Amino acid sequence: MIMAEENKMIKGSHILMRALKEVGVQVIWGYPGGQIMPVYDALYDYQDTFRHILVRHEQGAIHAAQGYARVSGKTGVVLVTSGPGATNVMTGIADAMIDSTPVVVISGQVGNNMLGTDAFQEADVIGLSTPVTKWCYQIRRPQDIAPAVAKAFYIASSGRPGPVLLDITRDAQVGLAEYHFDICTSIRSYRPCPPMPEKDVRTAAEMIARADRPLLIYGQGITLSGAEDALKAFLDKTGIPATSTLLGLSALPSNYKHFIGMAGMHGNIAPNVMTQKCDLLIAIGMRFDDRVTCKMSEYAKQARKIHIDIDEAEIGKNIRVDLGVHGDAKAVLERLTELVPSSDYTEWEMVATKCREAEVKEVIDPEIHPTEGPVTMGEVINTVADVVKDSAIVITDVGQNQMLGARYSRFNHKRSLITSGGLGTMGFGLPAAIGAKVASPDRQVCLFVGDGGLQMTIQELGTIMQEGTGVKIVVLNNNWLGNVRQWQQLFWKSRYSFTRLMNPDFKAITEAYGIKYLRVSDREHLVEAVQQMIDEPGPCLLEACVLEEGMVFPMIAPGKSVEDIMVTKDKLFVYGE
Amino acid sequence: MYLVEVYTENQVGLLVAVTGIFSRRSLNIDRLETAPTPLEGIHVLYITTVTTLSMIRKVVQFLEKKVDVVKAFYKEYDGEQLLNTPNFDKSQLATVAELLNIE
Repeated sequence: MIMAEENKMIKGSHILMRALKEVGVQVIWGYPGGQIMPVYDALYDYQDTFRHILVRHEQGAIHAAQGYARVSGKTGVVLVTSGPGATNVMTGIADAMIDSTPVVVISGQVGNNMLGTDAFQEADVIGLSTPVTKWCYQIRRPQDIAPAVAKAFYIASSGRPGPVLLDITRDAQVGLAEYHFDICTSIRSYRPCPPMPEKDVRTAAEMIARADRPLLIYGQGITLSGAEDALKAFLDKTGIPATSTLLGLSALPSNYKHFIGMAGMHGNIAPNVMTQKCDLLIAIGMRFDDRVTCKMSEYAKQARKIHIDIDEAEIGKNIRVDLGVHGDAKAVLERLTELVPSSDYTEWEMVATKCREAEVKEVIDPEIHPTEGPVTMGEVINTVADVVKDSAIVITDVGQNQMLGARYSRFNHKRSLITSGGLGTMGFGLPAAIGAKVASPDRQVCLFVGDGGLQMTIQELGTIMQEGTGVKIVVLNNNWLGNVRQWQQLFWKSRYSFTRLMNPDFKAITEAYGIKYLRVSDREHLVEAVQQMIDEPGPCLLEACVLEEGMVFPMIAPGKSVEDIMVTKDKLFVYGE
Repeated sequence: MYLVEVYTENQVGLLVAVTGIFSRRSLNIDRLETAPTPLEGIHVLYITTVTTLSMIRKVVQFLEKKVDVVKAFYKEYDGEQLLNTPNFDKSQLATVAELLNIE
């Protein structure tokens, strides 16, 4: 009986369903269309196996899959049609590539004999996706589907994760083949997990033991490697102060004793100042992005540097380092912790305390505890953190909402900040929040989004309506494209070129989708409004009408070193004053 | 001028992936040849370009990140020698064979 079943010829579309089931797929984000119809027809028989979530635009599908993947640690799955269906996911694929997010995108394609003929809804999807995927492959025969699926999920999730695209022609979808599935655990040309670099780790341990003022900077590599506990154990033993990149946030609890805040352009003062004062910089699972380093030639130029990364091409790419350690963050940290001596850097950490005190006085208090004027963005974000007691998964869009969301949210759980870091994709937030909530339905998921970014993917309110996804959407409405407006004010002589937005009636739009709408514009009702939003059992959109010309500080101006920290538009931070 | 030798699986679209790593960094490819190697299923791409040592090192690292690239080598190139000589570089082939676990 089993043999008969094994040898049965089935359609490629059904092979795809069985293979996706085999690799453990539970959720598929998709949008049907002509050349993916055979797969959708097969999906009709698999409604009990997969939860298919119908989005309103393919860009929504990919960002939702990214949010799902980053909260759950599983691989997100996207199903779209050929031509425009596939081109509409390219932004999200590029976003997943630069932010190392495991997603598998399956696109339909025209029939084999129509390839290259400019057929209806034909696009060169492999050509388009090659530069922005970790791997992409066109399947033209049904018997190639199961091996390609196995390979795709292995590549997407192993080593440094990333997006994979499978382009399946109509012939492969409707053709018949036997089903054979073998899980993929290795590819002969691909080495995702380097062996433990014992010699380099020993050298690193010696460099750490000799340092007087070491500083550790970590990125999303900690999260991707599952190295949160290993990092904490290392810091507990060594007492080394630690700073995070934007994507590294939430890997350590915000109130952890050796955590000194976020580094970079809009980061905290302490890490940026200490970057220029440390004698050893230990970078783990981060890639020295220009938003972290600012002026690269000045970045920590006095310090020796160790760079630990699973991706060898990142070592020395942007910043020349004294020691590259090519390895997995968790494995290397665990070994390092065994090798390094216990130490205490209380005096060195006093620099962080002093910087923190100055930042609270100059920047943080005026932003989150203003006593007059309109409500500020930071005030709203801080209030949300208070009400949820630091426990929410925070999603941001891109711009001021993102920087302030990262600065003033607090985290007590890993995988709790989801944001488009590398690509900086406006419109990421709303669909990513849906993905996060589907991945973690029992946790509060709060999105901070601007009035501009919301309107880039606002159609996904329809997905929320259809699925009843209980996301909390905080629209920080300042009637501007705020981040660009801030740059225009500071660096372009206040020439506000096309950054003023005329906005729609968000109440009418939200309620048209059957979603609870709340609005707050004054300080007196802020806590109550946020509490009401959180208490709402289903989805809820809170429109916060905030200070229109609000700014994000501290800020390091473009082209400046990380020590040139603006605390207001006309004041630079001076350490020791 | 440098010669980059890239050993790859013979996969449709791989040439675009490889040349894209050069073009994204504004590196002009002066000469390009591909050939099957004695190792089954493995092709070699010969690419010459004018750039700096630090850039060519980065290019080779990015080439090796590609799933279907087995190994990439670089060396200085005088512009004289033929690229696809019938005599493959034996030490390179041995390295590639070892990585692929081919006897």
